[in-house]
Amino acid sequence: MPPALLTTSLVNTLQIGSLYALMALGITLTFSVMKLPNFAHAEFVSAGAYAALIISLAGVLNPLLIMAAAFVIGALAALLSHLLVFKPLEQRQVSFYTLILASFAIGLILRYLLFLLADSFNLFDLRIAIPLRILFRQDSLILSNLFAWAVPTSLLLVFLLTLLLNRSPLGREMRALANNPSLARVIGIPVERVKNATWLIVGGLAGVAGALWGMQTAVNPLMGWAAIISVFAAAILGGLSSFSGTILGAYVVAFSENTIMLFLNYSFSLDLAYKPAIPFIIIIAVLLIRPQGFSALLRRGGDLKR
Amino acid sequence: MIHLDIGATVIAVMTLFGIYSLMSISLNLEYGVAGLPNFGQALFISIGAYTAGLTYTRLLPLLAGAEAIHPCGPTMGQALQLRSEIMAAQPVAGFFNLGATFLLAALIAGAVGFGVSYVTLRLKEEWFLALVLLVGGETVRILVRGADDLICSHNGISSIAQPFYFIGEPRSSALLFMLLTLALALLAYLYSQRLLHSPYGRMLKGLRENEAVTRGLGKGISLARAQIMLIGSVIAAIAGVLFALNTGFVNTNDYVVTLTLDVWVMVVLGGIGNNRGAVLGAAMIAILDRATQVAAIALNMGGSPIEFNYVRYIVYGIILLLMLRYRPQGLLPESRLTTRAHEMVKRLLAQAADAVPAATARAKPMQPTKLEAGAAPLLKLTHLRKDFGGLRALHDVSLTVPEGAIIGLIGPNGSGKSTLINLVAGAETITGGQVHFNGEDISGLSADAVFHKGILRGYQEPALYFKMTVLDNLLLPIPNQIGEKPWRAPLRRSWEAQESANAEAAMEALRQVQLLPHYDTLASDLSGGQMKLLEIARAMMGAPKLLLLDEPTAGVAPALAYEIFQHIARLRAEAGVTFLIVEHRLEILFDFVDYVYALHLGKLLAAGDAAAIAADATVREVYFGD
Amino acid sequence: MITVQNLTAGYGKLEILQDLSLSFAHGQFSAVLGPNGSGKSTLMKAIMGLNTVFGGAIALNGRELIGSATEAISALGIAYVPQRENIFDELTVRENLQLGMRRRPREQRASALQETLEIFPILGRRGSQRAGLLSGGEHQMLAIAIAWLGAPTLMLLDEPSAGLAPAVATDVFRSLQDLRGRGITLIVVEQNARRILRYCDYAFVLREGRLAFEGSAEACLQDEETIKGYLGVH
Repeated sequence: MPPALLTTSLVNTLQIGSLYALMALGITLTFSVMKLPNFAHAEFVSAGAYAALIISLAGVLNPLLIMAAAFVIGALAALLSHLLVFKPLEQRQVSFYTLILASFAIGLILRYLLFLLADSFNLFDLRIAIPLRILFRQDSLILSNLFAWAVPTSLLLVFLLTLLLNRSPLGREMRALANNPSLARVIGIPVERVKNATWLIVGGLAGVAGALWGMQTAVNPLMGWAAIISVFAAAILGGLSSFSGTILGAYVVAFSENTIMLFLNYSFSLDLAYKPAIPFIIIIAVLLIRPQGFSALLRRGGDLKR
Repeated sequence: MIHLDIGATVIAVMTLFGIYSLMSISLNLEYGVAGLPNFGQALFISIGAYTAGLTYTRLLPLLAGAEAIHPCGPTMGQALQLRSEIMAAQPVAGFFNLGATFLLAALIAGAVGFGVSYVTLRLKEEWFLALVLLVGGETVRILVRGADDLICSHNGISSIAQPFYFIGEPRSSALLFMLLTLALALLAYLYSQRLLHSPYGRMLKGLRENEAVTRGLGKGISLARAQIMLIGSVIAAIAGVLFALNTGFVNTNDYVVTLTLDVWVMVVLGGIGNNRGAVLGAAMIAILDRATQVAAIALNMGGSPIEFNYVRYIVYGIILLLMLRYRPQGLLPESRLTTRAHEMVKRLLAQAADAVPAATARAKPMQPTKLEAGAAPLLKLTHLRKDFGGLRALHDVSLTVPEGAIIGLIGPNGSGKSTLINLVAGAETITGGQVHFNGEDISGLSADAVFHKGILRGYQEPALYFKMTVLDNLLLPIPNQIGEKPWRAPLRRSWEAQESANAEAAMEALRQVQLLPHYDTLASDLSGGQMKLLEIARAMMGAPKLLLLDEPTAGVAPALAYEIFQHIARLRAEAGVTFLIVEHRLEILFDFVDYVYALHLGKLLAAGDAAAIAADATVREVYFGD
Repeated sequence: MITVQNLTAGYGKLEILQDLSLSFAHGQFSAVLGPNGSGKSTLMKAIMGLNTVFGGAIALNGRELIGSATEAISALGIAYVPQRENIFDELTVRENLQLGMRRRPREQRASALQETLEIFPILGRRGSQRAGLLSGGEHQMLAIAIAWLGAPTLMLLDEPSAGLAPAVATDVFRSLQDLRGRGITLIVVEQNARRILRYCDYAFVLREGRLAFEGSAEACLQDEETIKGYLGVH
């Protein structure tokens, strides 16, 4: 494999991996704190991307403002899902599968609301309207100002989230709730407030991930769903409980999808169309061989664990 | 105003209804009855559709004596022309091809369903099956779309004519196809109704409600679940074949997660666990589908550009959420009286009422009896050890339980009594030492294997099937039921005589614990004491040689506690059952036991008959303090 | 301080406590004793609103508790240390202690933490360790410390000595005595009677869900009937 191709794929790994990490951390958080594998997470991403797209089309071109809009919409979608659907269902102590099904239903509604929106205003496959400048170009490797924005931002957000979780009182309470919900209640942790805050953070970060994604590719209502399998693969690599494991998992998935796939394509002429099989193989392999993922490997005081 | 062809609409809706019914019956068997969350329904439907795509392009020309033309790319038009000609002129080839399609689709889907679930259901958490099927379905779809030759990737294969195309007149051929679809749906309905009413259906409902208990009652649960996934997958694949024939083309875009969700909407809407509900849900969605299509056409003519498929999905999502929130049991809730045995018992009771009025025969209270000396050991534990992490819960405990004895196992909290029961019953892995039963080493056997050796265990908190009737609770543990095999279950005659005999045995057991009048009550509606009695009666139906009981009198009034022990004494005398009983009510226990072992901090502290233990200074010390 | 009147309670449909009446005095270290299944833990859970109450009344300083949610009951100043799962085992010891102070005003927290480490010096040395790695005795001390940091006036403990070696159990009871000295009312459920009777002030003995004996710790130690009651032989 030529070095230029390798460099490009590694840059892609970094770029995609950071976005996967941002999304997969949300999956891990909701699973740990809420005991819910939330498939509607995909649509929080898409909703954020559309919020970013619309505000950029309206003339707001400051990336920070764009991301803020995406955060707000993603966070709102998540909080409303919790308050209108998940919370009442949890209070009725429904089965685990009912919650999964409900998350599918929320995702379905959101996705097709976005389709309606995109259809009405012709917003399919548009890029968020920040002007593109090429910063660096060599062979197939192109680095734009958007890359310079997106990658450090997602890395920074992942870092901030880790900090919040491991160092702040709110993060401590979130981890406490994930670890032992009944004791959390007894010692007076305001469980509902912590849950609301968790949903806001999870949805907001998904929204920002959507915006960052939309800056680099294009926005469409299926974009979140298209990534959800890879994102779940990353979270499962983290054992659905470990924060650092999830981040590592995100880069492993991105590396396999980009560098390893390209290598197989180049060396064994494996069709690139098989790329979607990679997260599936990762999921199956992890579940069969090591269902705890990286979590036991990286277990420290600060990790989430059911 | 558009012209609405009523006849054609009815045929179209009825055809759709037939196909949807197959899909919803399939999911209802898997999720509603057996509790397996199949979030990959689209995968199994698509297997049927892709198979149809393959056979109609590759096999059909061969059957008709022509040469197959590559269906994709430049020769696409030619291939399409050839298909239409064959379907119009050679109905026999068409029917052969249809039969081959059904067979092939059923084989592939069945193998996938069985294989995936057999592997996945052994995983750590049950919902991994949901994840694997969901992700698998999406992945297969994307791969098929990428694989150029299979069904012409993005374009799909169009013009797959339905088998009655040769008739020529569209209305008649559509009508015949509708009849075929409805006939297959009816067949699937009758089949699944039979399954539901059979011992196999009872076992699946037991698995859905309490996996651990069902395993302890000797049922091989992984296999049973893989079997029902096989059956469900076959039905879904047949639905997929019909779906492809009905729409006339095979395209990967039809088999996305939203199709899976459509099927879930049908089942949740109609009623989980109830075949009638599944069919009702299918009917409602078929009508809704058609109505939205008609409305879409009507509105588009009025100049509204709204894409109706979007609205349709939004509406379905909302229906799903509203149902889950406000009516989770569905429009037609599951019936609690499903198995045939209830009718048999009802008939027998009616006969008995005619013959002997007010037959209130109650088991004679059995006073404590003692074991004769010199009985052979039935259960022998040698240096049994159990560690939990770094904690040693059981230290090298050795003891024997003679055949026909009632043995007490006592000790303060945390002394390892329940751990010992769990180890013998195969519910937990043994760290060290051996368990011999009837002279055979049974250490390390799984819970269902231990059951088949003749050991059955009870639980401290009554672990009944609370959502099943008292009668079904009793019938489930009976080993070697013919009707528990999925291929025998639909053939009622093959198991009816056995079921009838079992029902009579169950009636007798119920009569002895005075629960016969409650045979069709849900176990959850019994009182606490009745639950305890039912649990012992249920254990006896498994015909155990050794019954392990964990605090059989916990939480019941003293008078009833005494009665429970009288039943234990009676079962020992009448059925020759050996008992190993963990109990804290020593004053009752000591009246009935032959021998007592006292545990403390995982070690055997003392052993002896009741009087010796009661007088033992060390036992007094650990119970009262050092 | 807490008065229980004609209480019938249990789990699901099982009635474990039968028409029980007793009252715990303010500032005292009381033990609730009795064989397994006699209803000791059921009594605690009924006070905390964690199980089914079929009838009767439980009042804290005249205020009815039955029907309130567990959070509301603990907010009244009752801390409950269950037998198991009573710490956050995935978090560090320090984080566990910080979470325990959730109910204290900010300005009190530093001194409260200081005081805790005086009572349980071992916890200070384990600060950054994951709580799940503590030994049995340290684990129980942490659980008690978490509960105490919530500034309760009354603490309920369910078998704090279960599974502990005698010397370690003694340490736990000593620290409970220390807490009583700091003005906390204590109710401790124990199976191993003689050990705790050396440290507590007052004892209740339950049998078959009813009160079989009550009196001072000394009186209880000398009562032969109680000893027999444990074994159920007469």
